[in-house]
Amino acid sequence: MGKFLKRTSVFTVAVAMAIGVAACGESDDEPGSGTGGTAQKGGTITLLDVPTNYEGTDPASIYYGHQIAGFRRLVYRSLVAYPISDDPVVSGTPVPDLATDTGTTPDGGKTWSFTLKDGIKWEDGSDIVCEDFQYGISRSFDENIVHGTGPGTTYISTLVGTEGYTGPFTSTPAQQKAFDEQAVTCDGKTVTYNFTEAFPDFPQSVASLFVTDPYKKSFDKGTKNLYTVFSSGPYKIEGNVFDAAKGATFVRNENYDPATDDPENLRQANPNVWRVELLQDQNPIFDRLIADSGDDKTALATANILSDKYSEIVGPVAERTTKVASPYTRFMQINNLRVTDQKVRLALTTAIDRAGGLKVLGGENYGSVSSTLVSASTPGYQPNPAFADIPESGDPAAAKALLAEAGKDGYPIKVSYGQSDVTDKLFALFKQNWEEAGFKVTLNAISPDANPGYYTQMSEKDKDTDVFYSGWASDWPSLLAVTPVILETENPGFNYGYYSNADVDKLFAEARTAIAAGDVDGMIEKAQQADALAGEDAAYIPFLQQSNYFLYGSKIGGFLPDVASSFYPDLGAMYVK
Amino acid sequence: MSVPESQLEFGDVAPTEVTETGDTVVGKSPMQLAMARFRADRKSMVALGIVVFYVLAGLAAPLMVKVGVIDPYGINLDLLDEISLPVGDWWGISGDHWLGVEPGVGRDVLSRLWYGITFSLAISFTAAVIAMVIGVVLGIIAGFSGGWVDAIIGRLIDLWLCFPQIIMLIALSTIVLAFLTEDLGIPPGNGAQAVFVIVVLALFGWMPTARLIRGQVLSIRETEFIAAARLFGASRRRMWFREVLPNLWAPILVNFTLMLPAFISAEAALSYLGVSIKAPTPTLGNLLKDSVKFAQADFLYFVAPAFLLAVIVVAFNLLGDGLRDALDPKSSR
Repeated sequence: MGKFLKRTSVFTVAVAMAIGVAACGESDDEPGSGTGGTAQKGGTITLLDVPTNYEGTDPASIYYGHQIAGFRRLVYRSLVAYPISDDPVVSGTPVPDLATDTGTTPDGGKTWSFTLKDGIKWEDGSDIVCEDFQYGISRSFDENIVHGTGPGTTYISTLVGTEGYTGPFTSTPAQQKAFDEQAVTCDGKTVTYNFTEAFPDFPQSVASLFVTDPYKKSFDKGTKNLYTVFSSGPYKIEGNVFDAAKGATFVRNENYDPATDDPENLRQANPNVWRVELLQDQNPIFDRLIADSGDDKTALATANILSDKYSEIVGPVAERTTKVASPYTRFMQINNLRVTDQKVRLALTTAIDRAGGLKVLGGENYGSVSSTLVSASTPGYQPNPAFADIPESGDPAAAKALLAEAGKDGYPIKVSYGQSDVTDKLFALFKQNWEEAGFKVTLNAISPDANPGYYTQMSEKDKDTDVFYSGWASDWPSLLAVTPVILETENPGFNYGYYSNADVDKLFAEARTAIAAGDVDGMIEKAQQADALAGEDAAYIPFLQQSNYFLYGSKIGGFLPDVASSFYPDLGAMYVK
Repeated sequence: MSVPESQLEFGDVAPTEVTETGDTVVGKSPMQLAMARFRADRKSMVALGIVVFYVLAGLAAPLMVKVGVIDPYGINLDLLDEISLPVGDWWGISGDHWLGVEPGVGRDVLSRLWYGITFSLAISFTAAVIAMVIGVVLGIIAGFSGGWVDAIIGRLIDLWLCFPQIIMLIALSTIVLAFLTEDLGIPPGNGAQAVFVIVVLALFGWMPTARLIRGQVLSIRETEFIAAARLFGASRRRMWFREVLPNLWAPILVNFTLMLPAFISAEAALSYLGVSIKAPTPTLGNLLKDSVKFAQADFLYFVAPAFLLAVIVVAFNLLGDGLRDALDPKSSR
């Protein structure tokens, strides 16, 4: 068990799948009950976690959402960053961090330039220079350094002159020269990124991921640096080494100058010390937080409360929890190459008891029923009009009628899902729902240690599957990081249902044009239309919106999961009460 | 001559003696004597009762499912609260659900346990029969033939005993399952899983039986009736299976009764590790696995499968011990 915290993409989803039940409910309560008090300096805050949630601390290897959120506030600064705020629009809009601006593009997103601030320093006192950015992004092309957990390198694969480029260690001098002169160029304090096609969301990807982070060349020892931290932020690890089994202690970095930062919005840096304490199992983490004694009063878990602890979250313990909508949604993708009849696809959606399914997964602590694949935390979220009228507990009679209308009663479907105790129960329910509606259902539970893995099997075009369980969270809070990834014909992302509709593709193209021109509302409108159109095609089966459900010690103040932190606890404003 | 009462073993019957009144005691066959000893042992009789109860329950379950008395797959979401635990203070116990309902989807716990007994017993019984056949045949051949045949089979047993069973099972599961489904055409899923577990339990369970039988055969082959059969020119196979085998029923029965509980718990362990039959089909092992997470939240659901499993294993073991005592009173305990 245990890996969930990644921010999206294929990897993320596979991982989230593996835990099944770890999350929970609705974002109805006001987030960050601690924000009301005044932040105090000093003290120690402990983050309790398990080693599998820290597969590396080299920025190029980090892709877990909780780790990105935390390290951005403590040690790794970048050109731009998301501010601390409970307003999703504010928190989802990058502000300058190491750069003086949020990026300028003269040509609609193909070329991006940033100018660096003065006085920005590494933890050893040396200046952070443009070449550090050039070098940092270049090492993200090295498969060994990104360490398999792959922090979304697809986003930088469209840089000019990077064909066949495999990073500074293994590339030929000619390739390296091409990279330095074409892909990312330096002119004094200005760093420029050149893409082969427009990438209007680039500043957001810089703020959201670590692939574009600067890296000091003289510190680089390649893959040996997997568990090292070379800080540019307000804290550092003494000795630079993060213990993969035990964790680390972050102390103040005296070479960090708050004047070069935006402390109020990005890094309040309240406690004197942060500790990451790794335990071998998640259970004792929550036992300790529930007990709330001694040093654990200033501790928190960045992982969701385990579902088998829900019954202990009552009374005063429940007051130390926060529940918010997470960027994750769960849905089922339909193999559009095999299930070609729109009525059959709609019947699949109409038949299932989504409210019951949510209950199986842990009820309102796990999430809420959704009628789209977009997370409620994404600006521009709207329920898909095509699915909005389907009752949450399903309508097998209507589904049966649809199936009869299509003349496909007894239609055989093969349903795949990643096997776990919880998904077994979930699909026992859905199987019953579908059979009530007249489908003939075969379940295909894929073992967590199957080789190739679940999502690799599902990515095959000729897979023997009609419907499969799936999930997604966007890498940054934008509709364009969700719907096209799953519904666009030619998308390197997650369209494993092989849905294809020229009109939908056209709307996505228009949405990109709009955002390149700075028209956020236009982009949102087009992307919403695309989702609605795909809904009319019944291209996928919506299921639920996941929640993040956190528990923290009684002396933690400023607990706020916001857009900036992908709805993991934002460490930027946290303090010891 | 009579034996002093104090020297009689418990359950032993004194040799026939002439009573003072002069009446002779009616002679009893060894079988009758064994039965008498067994009946006199109360704990064995209780164990037998429990075992018979389990076996009848196991046999009846598929019928009960068919006529709808029990429903191991029926989903009752309305009996669960918002965090998907059974509603109420008593783990969801009601007139319809005597042991409450399962957290998650609200399937009836009693039905699942009952049906789970069927699968657990069927798998371990089949595996034990196969292991028994292998063990007895190899034991007779080794014991009767002696010489190099005995040596080879003996070393084979030693070698086989060296394999760490559980680890081999888990390690082999992918390969063997692929072989079963792709080469033998067994449909993938629980059918193949069941065959796999049966085959592997049997393949790693026959050695103690073979050793025991070999020992027994060593003494039987020196008896007069074997010598007589040999004189009459009986074939080797006739001597193995017509002359020797009928004299082995006692150790076979005892050994089988003791092997079964070992296989039942092994199957449960494998289910727990996810190698055996998988949910939604219930076995005692996979029910236990699912219930462990709810040890605190839904105590009854956690305790019930563990209790049933413990009872059946203890009952079979007591029955096996009782049978051994009854059939072979001279053996040391």
